[in-house]
Amino acid sequence: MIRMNKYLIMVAILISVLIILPTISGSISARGEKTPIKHLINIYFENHTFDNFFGTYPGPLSSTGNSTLADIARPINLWNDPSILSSMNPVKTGIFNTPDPIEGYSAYHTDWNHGAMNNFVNGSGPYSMTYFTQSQVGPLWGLAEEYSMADMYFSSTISESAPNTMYYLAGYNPLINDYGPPPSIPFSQTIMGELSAFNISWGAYIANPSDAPHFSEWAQISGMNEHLGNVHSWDTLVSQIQSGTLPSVSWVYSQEGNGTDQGPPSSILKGELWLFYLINTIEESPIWNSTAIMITWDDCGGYYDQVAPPVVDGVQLGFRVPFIVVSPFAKENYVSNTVLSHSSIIAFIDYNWNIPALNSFVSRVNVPIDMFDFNFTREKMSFDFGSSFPIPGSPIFSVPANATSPNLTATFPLSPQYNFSSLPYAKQGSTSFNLSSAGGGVFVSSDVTLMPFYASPYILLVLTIVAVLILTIVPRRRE
Amino acid sequence: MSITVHQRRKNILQGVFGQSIPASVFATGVILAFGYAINLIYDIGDTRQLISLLPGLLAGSLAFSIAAYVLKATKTGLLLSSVISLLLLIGAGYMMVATDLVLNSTDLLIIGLLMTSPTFPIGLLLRYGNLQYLLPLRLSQAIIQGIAVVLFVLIFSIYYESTGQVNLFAGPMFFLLLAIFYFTGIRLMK
Repeated sequence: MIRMNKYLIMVAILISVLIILPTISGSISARGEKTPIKHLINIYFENHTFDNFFGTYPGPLSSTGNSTLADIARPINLWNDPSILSSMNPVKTGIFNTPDPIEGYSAYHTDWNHGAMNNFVNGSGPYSMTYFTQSQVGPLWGLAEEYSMADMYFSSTISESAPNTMYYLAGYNPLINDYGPPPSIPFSQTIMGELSAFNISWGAYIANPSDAPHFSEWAQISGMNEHLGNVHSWDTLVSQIQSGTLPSVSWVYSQEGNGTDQGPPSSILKGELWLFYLINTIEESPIWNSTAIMITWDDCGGYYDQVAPPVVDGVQLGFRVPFIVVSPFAKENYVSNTVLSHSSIIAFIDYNWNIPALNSFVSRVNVPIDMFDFNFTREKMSFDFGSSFPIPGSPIFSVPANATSPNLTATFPLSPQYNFSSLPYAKQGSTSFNLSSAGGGVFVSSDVTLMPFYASPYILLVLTIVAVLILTIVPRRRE
Repeated sequence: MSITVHQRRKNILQGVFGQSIPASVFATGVILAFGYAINLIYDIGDTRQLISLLPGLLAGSLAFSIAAYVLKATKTGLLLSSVISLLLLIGAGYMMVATDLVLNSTDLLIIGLLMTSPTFPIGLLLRYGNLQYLLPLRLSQAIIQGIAVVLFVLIFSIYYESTGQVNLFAGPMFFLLLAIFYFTGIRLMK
C-alpha cells in the first residue's frame, strides 16, 4: 500500500512538473498546425508595385494564338485602362532597372492624391511611370501562373520600408518613415515574439549574419539583438532546407544582399535569379510537401499603381505590391481578389499554428486562405529557363556576364502542371475570413511604442526651460 | 563722449559672440526641438523639399532676427514676442496636423518661416539687460544671427543624413546643451 502511494505521489509530481515547466520557462505549448503546412517561408523584396511588375500580365489582350496565354487568369492591371497604359513607359528589353523614383512619405502621399492615384509625376517623379514587361519579369509571371498570386495585396502604409516592415513583423507601426530609432517597438509584440512565447520555432535569414546587430529590417525592434541566435546566413537556410531541419516559420531577407533586393536603381535580374534558386532548392528538398512560400515586396518604391488603397480597421493601407504563394497546396493559375496586406501574413501564421491573433489589427485583416486548396497536393516543379536565365547554384553569386542583358520573353508562359480547364476551382476568388471571426483572442492587447525619456520631446522642453532660466535668473557678474 | 577704436572692437565682439551666436545656437535648438516634437523632421527627406523649406527658414530667420534687434529689449517686448512666437509655432503645428504631414511647396515655405519665430524672443532675451548698441551694429548682429541659424540647421541636416537618420533627438539636444553651456559661460564671464 505504502509503495503504491509512493508511485502515486511520484506520478502526481511528474504530472505537476509537466504542467508547470512550460510556465516556468516562459513558453506556452504550441497547439499544432491547422493545415498540412509545417513550414512557412517568407521572402521579402524591395520597392515595386503590382502594376510595375504585373501591369501587363499575362500579355496583350488581343489573342496571340497561344492557348495557354488565353487561359491564364487576368488580374486587375494596366490592361484595365488603355489611357493609363499609353501614359506609361515600358522598360526597354535588355534593361533590368530604372533610375530610382523619388521615395518618402511626402512623395508617396503626393502620388496618392487622396486616392485619385493621379499625381505620380509630381510626387515620385517621371520614373514612377515606368513598368517592367515579360522581357524582364517573365520568370515571375511564370511563378504567378503556376501558383497563386493576389491582385489586391497592399503594402500596409503609404510610406517607406521601415513602417511597412513594422506591419510585416508586428501588425503595428509607430513610425512615419525610415528615420529612427527611436521610436521602436518591443520584440515581445512582434510575430517572432509571439512564436517564441508559444515555443514555435522561427528563423531569420540574411546574407551576412555579422550584419545582424545593425540589420535595417529590424532596427526599430527593441530586444531583437537578444534573439540573434535565430538569425542565420542564406547558406544555413539552404542546409536547413536540404536537411529538413528548417524552423516552422522563416523570414528570408533579400535586403543588404549585394543587389538581390530588386530595389531601384538596382537591377531586378539578380533578385529574380536568387528567388528561383531558393524556390528550386525548396522544391527539391524533403520539406516541400509541407511548405508554403510567401513572396512579397515591402513598399511601392515610388512606382505607379492604379488601385486606390482601402482603409482597413482604421488603417490607411499603402499601394498594391505583388504577392505570390508557392506551395504544393497553392492553387495553380489563381488570382486572389481578397484585400490583403503585410499583416495578412501574420494572420496566416497565427491561423496555421493555432495561436491567438498577434493584435487587434491582425485579427481584423483577411487571411490569404483562398490561395490554397488543401484537398489538392501538387508535385514539385523545378524551374529551368535555359541559358538566358541561368539559375545559380548558390544563394551568393554574381550574375554571369552573358546574362546581364538577356531577353526573358521566352520564359513565359510555362506549360501548366495541370490543365487549366480541369482545375477544381475558379480562376479568381476572394475571402473575408479573418481571425476575429474565428475567435481565439489576441496575443498583444495594447501595442506599445518605446520612446525613452532621453529621446522624447519633453527632455528637450526641459533643456529649453533651463537655458531660459540661466539667462533670466542667474545674475551676471559685474566688473 | 566718443568711444575708442578698441572699445568699438570690443563692442562688436561682445555683440556677436555675446548675443548673436549664442542666440542662434539656442534658437536652432528650439527650432529643431519643435520640428522633432511635431514630426516635421521625420517628414523631411525628399531633397526637393529643401527648395521650399530653406528660403522659408532663411526669410523667417532674418525677419525675426531683425525684429529682435530693432525693437527695444524690454520686459513687455519679451513677453509679447514670446506670445507671438508661440502662436506662430502652434500655427505651424496645426498645418502639419491639418495636412496629415503632406506638405506642398507653399506649405513648406510657410512652415519654414513660422518655425523660425523663436529667433525673435531669443534675440531679445540675449539683449535684455545688456549694452544697447547703435542700430548699424544691431542690424549686423541680426543678420549674423539669422544666417547662423540657417547654417546650423543645415549642418544638422547633413549630419543626420550621413549617419543613417537615427537618434534624431541628439541634434536638438546638442544645440540646447551647447546653449546652456554658452549661457553659463556668458553669465560667469566678467
